[in-house]
Amino acid sequence: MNSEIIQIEGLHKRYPKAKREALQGVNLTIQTGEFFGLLGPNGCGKTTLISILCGLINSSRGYMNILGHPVPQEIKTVNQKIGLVPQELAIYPTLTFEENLRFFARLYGLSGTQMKQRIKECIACACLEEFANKPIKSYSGGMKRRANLVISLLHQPQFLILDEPTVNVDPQSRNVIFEVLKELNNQGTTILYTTHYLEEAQQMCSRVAIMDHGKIIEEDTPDNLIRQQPGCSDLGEVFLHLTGHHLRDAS
Amino acid sequence: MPFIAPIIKELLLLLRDRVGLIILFLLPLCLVIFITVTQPDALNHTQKLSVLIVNQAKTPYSKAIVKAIKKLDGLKVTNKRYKLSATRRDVAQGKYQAALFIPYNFNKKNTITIYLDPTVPDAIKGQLELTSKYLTQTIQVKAASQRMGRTLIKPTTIKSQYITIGGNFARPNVVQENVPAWSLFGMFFVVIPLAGMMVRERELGVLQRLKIAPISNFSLSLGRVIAFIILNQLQLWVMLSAGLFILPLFGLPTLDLSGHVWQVLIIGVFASLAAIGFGSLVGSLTRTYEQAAFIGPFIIVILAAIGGILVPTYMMPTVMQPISEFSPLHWAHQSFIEILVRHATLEDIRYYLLALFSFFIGTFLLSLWIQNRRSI
Repeated sequence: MNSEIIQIEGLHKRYPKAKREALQGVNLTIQTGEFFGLLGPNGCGKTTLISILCGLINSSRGYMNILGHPVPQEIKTVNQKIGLVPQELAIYPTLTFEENLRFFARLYGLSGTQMKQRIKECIACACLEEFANKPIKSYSGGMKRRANLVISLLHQPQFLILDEPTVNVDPQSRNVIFEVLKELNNQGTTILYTTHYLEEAQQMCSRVAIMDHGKIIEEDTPDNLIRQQPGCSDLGEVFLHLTGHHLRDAS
Repeated sequence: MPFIAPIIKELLLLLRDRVGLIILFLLPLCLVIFITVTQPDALNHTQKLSVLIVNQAKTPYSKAIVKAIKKLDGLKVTNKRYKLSATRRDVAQGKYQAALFIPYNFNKKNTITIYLDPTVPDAIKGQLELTSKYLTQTIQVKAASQRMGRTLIKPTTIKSQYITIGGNFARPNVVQENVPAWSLFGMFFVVIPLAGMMVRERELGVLQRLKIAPISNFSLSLGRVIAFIILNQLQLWVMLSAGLFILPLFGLPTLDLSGHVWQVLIIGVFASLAAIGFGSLVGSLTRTYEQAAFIGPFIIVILAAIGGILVPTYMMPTVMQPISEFSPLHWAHQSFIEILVRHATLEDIRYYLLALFSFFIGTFLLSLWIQNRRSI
């Protein structure tokens, strides 16, 4: 039976000196075990929403409950159970992959045999056994992305947030990333996935929400969304139909 | 002309980089001002030697000597009715650079002693001795002609003596003075890797991971402080080793740390804390690695200039001397001078250590506050 892992009601965010709100009353519910896609054009508020979910920034008002804990009040408890794969390659380039893993493992309280075991599993998960002792800066783009992903899995989070994890990734690495995410989801990890590659979202996500101008404008399974929009045959067409064809340049 | 477009492009890029322009114009300007005004002959006046005169004898002859000395240029004379112990104490503590002591039994012994602070160079000591000899002889000749007394026919003996808190009278050598000073200067350059690393963590996005990890910003920063203290201590002892083992190979004296190793270690830790606090603040305030790598060292050079590393504080113009009290490099440098040159104890340098620690606490907490306020 599904239970709510995330419950957001009337979430608002206004940045200092901003003319309009970045989030204008977002309501969202994600069930345990879902592979949830958060889609939207540039500047629609996706990254703001993710940052608030992780406690990196505070909302202006609204209610949020993650894994049964009110946020931001109990964000520290929540953060031990969630994993974030940032859009940037958030790893130390001059350290080896294994040294990066060891550092973050220690931050999450892993030690001894348990730490060694998890590091070994993560290296295998990223298919980087041969390169684990080489500095990250010597890796290709795809290798770096895989490393960036598995570091967030070290503490086996119940809820994983991925902010465009496949940007500039070669097809082989993208395939590895998809396999890892599918496997995690099958094992019960709830996933919140943002991407601009809509075919990815259609293929991977059990449910998606489309955001625009700080609001969620549509939310359903990819198949239902395609069926509901007349003349649309894939998620990409649905997206353009709902958000329009005009450019969304944001800085 | 094909080079016009690149010229316009470069100028536009420069104009867009406001911080870069500030670095290019404002910081060198500060450097020019601070380095120049701290030079000994800056502002058209040379520094006067602060001299304490204690005339216990109060004879016509001793009064004439005091009167003549007071007329000399280049001396800032203070008269005190001191005992010998108080005279020695004030010089040893650096309150005066020299003291001219005319004892009660001057009529009988006919000897004047000049006590000197160990930081006073040998050349100035020699000048002081010569001038005193010349003055006493001139007065004696005049006095003899006026029949001020038969005892004054014999020339007055001028004795001089360096004096320190610890009672060791050895004059410090160039190694003893320079090695700790420049070691400190080097230690403060820890700002480059420290601030640079903090900026890189922000640029790379690692800070996002760190912020959601179950560790407080305080713990992360404390870990950084401890790592850099270790690095700084290694750095200090490598530089001190140069004074112990390498400089003697060039015919220079060996750095003398005898009996002061623990004090040097403690000063090193406190200086390191101040340097790390400053580095953390620079890392929190700057937005790019280039800014951090340029602004940090620039400020250190200025702090070193006003702090008496480049030019000893007592040789600076009078207006600059109180300003040097505001430099953490001055506090650390003075601690080393007190211990290694004046042979003082840790108790004697407690206020310098307290100042260094307070500087660390202030800069460290400010840096944490800025980091907590700043969104990713």
